[in-house]
Amino acid sequence: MRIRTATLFPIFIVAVLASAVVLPSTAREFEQTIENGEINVADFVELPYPREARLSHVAGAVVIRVKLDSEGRVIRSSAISGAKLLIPACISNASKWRFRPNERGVAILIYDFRIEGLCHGYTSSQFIFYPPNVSTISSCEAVVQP
Amino acid sequence: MGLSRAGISGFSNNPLQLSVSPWYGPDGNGGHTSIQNVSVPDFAQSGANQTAIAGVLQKILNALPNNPVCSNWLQAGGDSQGTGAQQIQVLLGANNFGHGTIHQGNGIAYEIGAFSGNFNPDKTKIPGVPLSAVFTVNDAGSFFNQYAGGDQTKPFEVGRRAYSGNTLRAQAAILIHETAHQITVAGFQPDFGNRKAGRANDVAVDKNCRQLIEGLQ
Repeated sequence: MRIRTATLFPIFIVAVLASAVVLPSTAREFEQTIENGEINVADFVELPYPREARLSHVAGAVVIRVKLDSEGRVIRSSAISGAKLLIPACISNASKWRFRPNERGVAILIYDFRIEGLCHGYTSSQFIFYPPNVSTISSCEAVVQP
Repeated sequence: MGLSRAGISGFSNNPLQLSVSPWYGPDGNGGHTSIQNVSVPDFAQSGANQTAIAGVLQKILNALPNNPVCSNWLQAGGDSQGTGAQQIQVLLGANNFGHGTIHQGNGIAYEIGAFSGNFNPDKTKIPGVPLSAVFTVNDAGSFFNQYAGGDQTKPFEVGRRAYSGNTLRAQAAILIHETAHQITVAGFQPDFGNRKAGRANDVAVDKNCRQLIEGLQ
């Protein structure tokens, strides 16, 4: 089947207009730095080390971007980077945090998962929040137990 | 009768000989025994033995809902969260376990049925065992064998009830004991090199999970 150029032209125009509206916005969000001064946590919920990640010995940082409403509630959270086994728990946890509203309605949270030191078993987990936006979730290496 | 523990099995005729440490020796109660590093040079996470371990884990998982005493006991203690059933589900889903010939010091550790963990007490990683392996079953131990080293004068006995080696009861007792270590059940003690703690742990497994263990088919 032949498609006439005249038919495609309006579609092309619409696509160009749409990208002009969407792309600059996305690009703007991508390029804009969120400074620490904009992030003011009002309340947080502790996150235990996710079991599957701990048992698979997965550690490292997860960076989460959250979108806030006018009252500082999280209305959307997404991962910028991190390990696959850690991301879902962080996204879920971030959605429970509360912030003091900021002008742009955005914030970044950094979760730093560590496995260090020795202990008995695999369930130990310690959560520490370092304002404005960094949390460490520490577990330990399991010592042999027959 | 020899030592009989779930994680550590014994031989009925010849009591287990614990090595004597140059820095401290046995206290007669199983404490202060020397602790030599373990290693698993032929560690594997596949094959018939892996399938057998997974099969026993699955049977325990299936039986837990019908055994509330065991299920309620097999919970993470202290501030930790989680249940034995959740632990077993993740282990099965991610294949976070393995098997191989467990060595201790210079010889095969027949008395160790299985162990949980990845580090020796001297803070070095256990040779052969990957960090993603939560527990390791001994190919030469009581999980897969009736006798130590094939010697019929050394039958394995597992747990408080002295289950014979290479039986479903012995296998279940071993894996429940290890699961309790992994999730740090309240009162479950570190027992590497400590017979007294190991016996106390086996009493706890028996008291809470005997019905489950002996009901498995």
